[in-house]
Amino acid sequence: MNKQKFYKISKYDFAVAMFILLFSFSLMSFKNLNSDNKKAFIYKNNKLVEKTSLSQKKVINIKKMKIEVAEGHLRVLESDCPNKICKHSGWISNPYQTIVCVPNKILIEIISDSKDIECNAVSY
Amino acid sequence: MKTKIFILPLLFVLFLSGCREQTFKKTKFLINSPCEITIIDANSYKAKKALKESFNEIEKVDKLCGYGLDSKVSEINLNAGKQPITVNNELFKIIEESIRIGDLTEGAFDITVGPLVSLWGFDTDKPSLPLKNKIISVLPLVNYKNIKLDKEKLTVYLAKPGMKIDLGGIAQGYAVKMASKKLKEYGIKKALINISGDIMVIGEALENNPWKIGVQHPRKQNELLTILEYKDKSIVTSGDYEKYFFSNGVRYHHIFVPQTGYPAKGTISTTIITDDPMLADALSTAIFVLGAKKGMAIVNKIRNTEAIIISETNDGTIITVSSELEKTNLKFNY
Repeated sequence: MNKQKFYKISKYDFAVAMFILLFSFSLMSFKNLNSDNKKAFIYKNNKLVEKTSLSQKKVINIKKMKIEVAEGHLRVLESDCPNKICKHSGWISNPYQTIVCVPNKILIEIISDSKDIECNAVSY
Repeated sequence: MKTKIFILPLLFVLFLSGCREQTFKKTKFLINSPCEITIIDANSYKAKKALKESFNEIEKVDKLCGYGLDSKVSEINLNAGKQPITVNNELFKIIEESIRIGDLTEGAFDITVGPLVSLWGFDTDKPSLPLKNKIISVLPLVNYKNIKLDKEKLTVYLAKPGMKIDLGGIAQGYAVKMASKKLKEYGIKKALINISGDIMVIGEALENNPWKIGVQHPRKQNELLTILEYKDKSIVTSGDYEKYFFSNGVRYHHIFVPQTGYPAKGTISTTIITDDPMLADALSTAIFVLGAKKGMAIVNKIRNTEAIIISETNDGTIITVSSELEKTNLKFNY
């Protein structure tokens, strides 16, 4: 009958195990160390249609709306909605800010990975 | 066969990575508003399920309190002065609570402002200033005491033809309430619900810090008035900057004094902090209408309720803060 033998842990096994533990802890925290990566998420009819970093410089066309991204900010440049409330919202750049265009069913929000935020949400 | 025991640390690491709290967030456009729910939990399956179910609750409120031609609210309005309409228990309770808050605020909160909302065009994209005699003509239709409820038959009757109820001042708060109830049913201990600025926070945020809720500056679009830190509270703000138009240099906004038919003057922003989001929603409108003095007198009568009221007077801008909030030495950007 074969007997199962349990191998005694050597100092090398212990070293490997500690390395794996420390490496995985460092991976868990790495994501938050160096990201102030603000991204704009644009939804139309509750579906995500565009995702872009605010560090880029571009104009996004969604139907008859033009959305401008530049230098860490975003704004609605043009819209065919009657009251242009979305356009009057001006530039946004903070994670708690959103722009909404009800007639076009567009919602724009800014998401940031950074833990260093001014606030989690805005009451308005 | 040899078995290496060092596999135990690997299993330990896997276990730990599963225990770490993560943030789950979903945003949808419902009740004509941006709706956002954030959950902090270590269990991703539970969090995603809770998110889905809580959004289902908001959708139900959208259908219940909405203005579509096939909605119960429309049916009640179309039968004003004609016949009582049978409603479900949920809608009955919303209307009943609205009447209670009407009494509590001496008529400052009134869901029968429907005719005023329509007359001023705030239910369209182009609101405008109506003629004075038109405003006077609809005033007899604005009085929540003319809503007749039958608790046994679960019916709602608007006593005068032309009366219209509008649940816009309470529906979002109710949706927040239902969503938070669902999250708690799923055992969620840390969450933030935000429906168009009507906010409820459950528990604490990441690393057990209180949730930080900014209050919109009433006159500077991209700035905050102040930042509040709370757990397990609802924070709702009403402002004259949300829906308005200018006519001959005068700002006309959407928060009416039910008794005069004109937008409330003096107050430019009210923020209510209390336990119940539905009450917070209705109160923020009522206290805006009442103004700082009468409004704060009512806030002081309600348990666990705080307020920030910003008024524009001949002497400048005045910020009135309820007593408990004042003790926190809140800083204002004004």
